[in-house]
Amino acid sequence: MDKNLPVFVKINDYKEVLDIVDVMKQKLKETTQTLDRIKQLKSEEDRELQEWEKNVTEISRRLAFIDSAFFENE
Amino acid sequence: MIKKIIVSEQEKNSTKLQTKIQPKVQSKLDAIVRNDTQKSLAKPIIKQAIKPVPNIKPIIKPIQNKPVKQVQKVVPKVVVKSVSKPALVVKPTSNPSPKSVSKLTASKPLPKIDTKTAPKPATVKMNVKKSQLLEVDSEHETYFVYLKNPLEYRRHLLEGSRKILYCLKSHQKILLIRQKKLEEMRTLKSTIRELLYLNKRFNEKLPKYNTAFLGETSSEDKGKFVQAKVPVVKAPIEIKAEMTEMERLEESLANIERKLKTLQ
Repeated sequence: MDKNLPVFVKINDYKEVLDIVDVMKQKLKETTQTLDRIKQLKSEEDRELQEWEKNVTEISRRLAFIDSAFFENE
Repeated sequence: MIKKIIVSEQEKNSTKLQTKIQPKVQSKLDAIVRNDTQKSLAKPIIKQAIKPVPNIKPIIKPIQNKPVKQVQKVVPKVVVKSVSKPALVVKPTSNPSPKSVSKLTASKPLPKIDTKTAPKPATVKMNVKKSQLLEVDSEHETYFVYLKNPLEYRRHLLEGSRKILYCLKSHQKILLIRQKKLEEMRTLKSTIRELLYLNKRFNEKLPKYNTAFLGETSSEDKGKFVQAKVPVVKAPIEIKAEMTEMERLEESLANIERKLKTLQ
């Protein structure tokens, strides 16, 4: 067998394969969109967590102030 | 004679009585005269006597749940009585004891005050100097601490409460975001499953090739599709239903890696 000869491959149900490829493309697009949404939600969550941390720091600062004011004479 | 003697004795007695009584009467008369003159002079004296009363204010102990203001009103009346004897006027003292105050107030009972309308004794705590504790009720031993700037503390407390509420609000937001994220991840998972199924279908439609034949060909011919009889690799889901999702995925991944190795 000559190794340099081209090999022809027969594809059964050519149209169906093309349809499958189209659907796969569409699904991949959906996946990318979903991933983007998840990323957006993650960034929102991170932002909320940062806000949370900031608030907690502020509360602890105020509490320390009140604590020092109330118990400085002890 | 007898009459004369009696009269003379009476005169003597009267003179004796006069000598005995006269200084008392004279002193009384003097006192009356002085009283008139001193009444006019007494006012500034009274004012002087009243002046130190505000110093007593923080230490005044409310008697029978009566506010401090009522005690202050009573004190001048008590002092006026003793004006006739200026020596008895209560001198202003820098640190009057609560006992002296209680004596002054106890001499004349205070009128009954409606406790509903009367101001609360708690107002006393604002007039006390810093770091000075004041015993208001010895029975319950309640103490008050002076706060320098109560509005500032109140503001701090309120802002702290507001921040706590913000935290709770952000917690709720995070929960909602996570819920949304989970939904999106479920959607992603279903989409990937569909992609996997489509990939399988696509592989089924492709021509089958023999890996042994590919191994015999040169490196240039690698990747070219050749029709061959190769058993179709079934999906891992169909192979073992008992396997977990993770195990199935690992198995399919191992299959793909094996195929890739044969292609190299």
